[in-house]
Amino acid sequence: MLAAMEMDWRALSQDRVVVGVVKTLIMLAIGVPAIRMASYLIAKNGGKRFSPQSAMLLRKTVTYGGAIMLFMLILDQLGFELTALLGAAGVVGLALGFASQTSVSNIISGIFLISEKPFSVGDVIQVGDKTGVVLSVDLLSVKMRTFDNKYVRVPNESLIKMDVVNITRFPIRRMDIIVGVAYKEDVKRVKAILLDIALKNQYCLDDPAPLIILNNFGDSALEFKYGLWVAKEDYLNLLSTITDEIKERFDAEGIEIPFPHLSLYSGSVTDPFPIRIVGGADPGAPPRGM
Amino acid sequence: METWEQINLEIGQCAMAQAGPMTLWVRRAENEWHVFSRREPCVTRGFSFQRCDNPPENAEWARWAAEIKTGDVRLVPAMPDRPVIVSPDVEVVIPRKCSALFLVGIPPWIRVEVGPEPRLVVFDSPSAMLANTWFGDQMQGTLCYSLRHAPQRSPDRLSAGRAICPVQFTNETDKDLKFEKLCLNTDGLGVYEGEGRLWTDTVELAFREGNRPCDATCAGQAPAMAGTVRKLCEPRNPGKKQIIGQSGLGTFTSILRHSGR
Repeated sequence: MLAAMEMDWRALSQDRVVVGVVKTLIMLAIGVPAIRMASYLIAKNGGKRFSPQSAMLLRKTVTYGGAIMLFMLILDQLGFELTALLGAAGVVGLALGFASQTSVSNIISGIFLISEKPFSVGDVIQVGDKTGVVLSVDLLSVKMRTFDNKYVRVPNESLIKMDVVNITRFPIRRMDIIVGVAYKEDVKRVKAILLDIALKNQYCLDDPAPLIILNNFGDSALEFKYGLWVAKEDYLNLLSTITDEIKERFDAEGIEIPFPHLSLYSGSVTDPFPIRIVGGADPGAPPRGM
Repeated sequence: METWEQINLEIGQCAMAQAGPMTLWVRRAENEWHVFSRREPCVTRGFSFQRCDNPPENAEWARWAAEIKTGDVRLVPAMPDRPVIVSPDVEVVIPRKCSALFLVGIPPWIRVEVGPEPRLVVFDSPSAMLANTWFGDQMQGTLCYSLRHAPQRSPDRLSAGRAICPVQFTNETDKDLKFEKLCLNTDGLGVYEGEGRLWTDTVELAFREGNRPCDATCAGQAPAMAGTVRKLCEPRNPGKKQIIGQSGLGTFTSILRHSGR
C-alpha cells in the first residue's frame, strides 16, 4: 500500500515536471517571437509617429521589459518562489548598488538627459573636443560617430557635468570667418566685395543678411568678421566654396591678403638699422662669400 | 511655341534645349538616355528645344539605364521645389480698399520626360540657380529661394526665361498696406503657356480686418492677360493650396508689423 502510494506520488511528480517543462517551452516559443516581432514593428513604424530617439527608447523598453516579464513567468512556471527570489535580488541589488555607484550615477544622469532632451538621435553635438552625430541616447551613455568615423561613447554622468553644444538644434547657422586684408586697402570697398561674394554664393542665405564688420586691427592685417548664414545641411558646402571664392575674387580685384610679417626698427622708424662688425676682420678685405 | 512639343529621337540622336541661362542636351542610346546640362549665369534668353547634331565633346553625361522602346522626349516647365521670396525694389504701398496686380518672374525648373505614359523623368533641375534665403526667425522658418528680381506691373518687364506668376493683392481694410516681402509657396501652382510666355496659376491675396487678416487662394487658372492658354505642368503638390495661404498669411503679418498696426 505504502509502496503503491510512493509510486503514484513519483509518477505525479514526474508528470508535473513534464507539464512544467512543456509549458515553459510553449511560453518561450510564443514569448520570444512576440517580443522580437514587437521590437521589429516599433523599429519599422515607430519613426513615423515618434522621433528616432523616442522610437529607440520605446523599442528597448519593450524588448527588455518583455524579456524580464517572460523570464519571471518561466521561473514561476518552474516552481520558483518569486517573492523569495525578489527579496534575495533586493539584497543582491543593494550590494551591487554600493559596488556600482558610477553606473547608478550614469543611469540617473541618463534619465535626466532623456527627459530634458538637450539633443536627440541624429543631432550633431560637441562634447569637449569631440564632435559627432548622436547615434543613441541610452541609460548609461551616449554613443556618437565623429566625422572621421570614430565611435565615441560618452558616459551620461560626464554629459551632465560638461558643456554640450548642440550644433544642429536650429535650422540655420551662422558661419564666422575672419578675413584679413592689407592695411592699405579701402575698408568700404572690401566690405562691398565681401557682400557681393556672399550674395553670389548659392548656399549663403541673403536673409538673415551677412554680417561684415571690421573686427580688429591685427598685427599684419585689417581683420574683418564675415558672418554668413546658411541652412545647417549646407554648412560644409558653404565653407568649401566661400573660401575659394574670397581668394579668387580678392586676386581679381587686387586686394592683398597679407601673410604675418614683422618689422624691426632700431628705436626709430626713419633711422637705418645699425650694424657693428665685431672681431679682427681686415676692413679692406672683401666680404666673405663674394 | 514648339519648345514644349514632343520630339522623337532615334538611337544615337540628340536634342538640345535652352531655358534662360541653362543649356541642356538629351541623347538617346541603346536602352539608355543621356542628359547633360550647364548654365551660363549672365545669359538671359527664352526657351527652345530642337534636334542637335553636335553635342559638346567634353559633356559629362548622366546616364539613365531604361529599356524604353520609343524615343519620345519632351520638356516640361515646373515650379521650384521650395517657396520663393520676392521683394519690390522700393517699398510699395497698397492703399486702403484698393487692389493691385503684381507679376512675379520665377525661373522655372526644367523637367525632361522620356518614353510613353507614364513618362520617365530623367532630369528635373532649375533653369537658373537661385540663392537661398530664410523666411522666419532664427529658430524656425522655411528655407526658400530668393528672387532678386522685383515684381513688375507689366509682363514686358519680365525676362523671357521666367514664368510669370500673377499675384493679386486686395486691401479690404481701412489702412494702407506696405508690400515689403512676399513668400510664395509654388508647390500648388501649375504652369501654362500663352501668348508666347509661361504663366502660373493666379494667386489672390485678400487682406481683411479681424483675427484672420489674410486669405490666400490659388485661382486654379492662368490670368486673362495670358490669352488662350495650354496647361503644361500640374502643381508639384496639388493638395498644398492651403500652404500658399499660410505663406501669404506670414507675409501679411509681416506687412502688418511694418505698417505699424
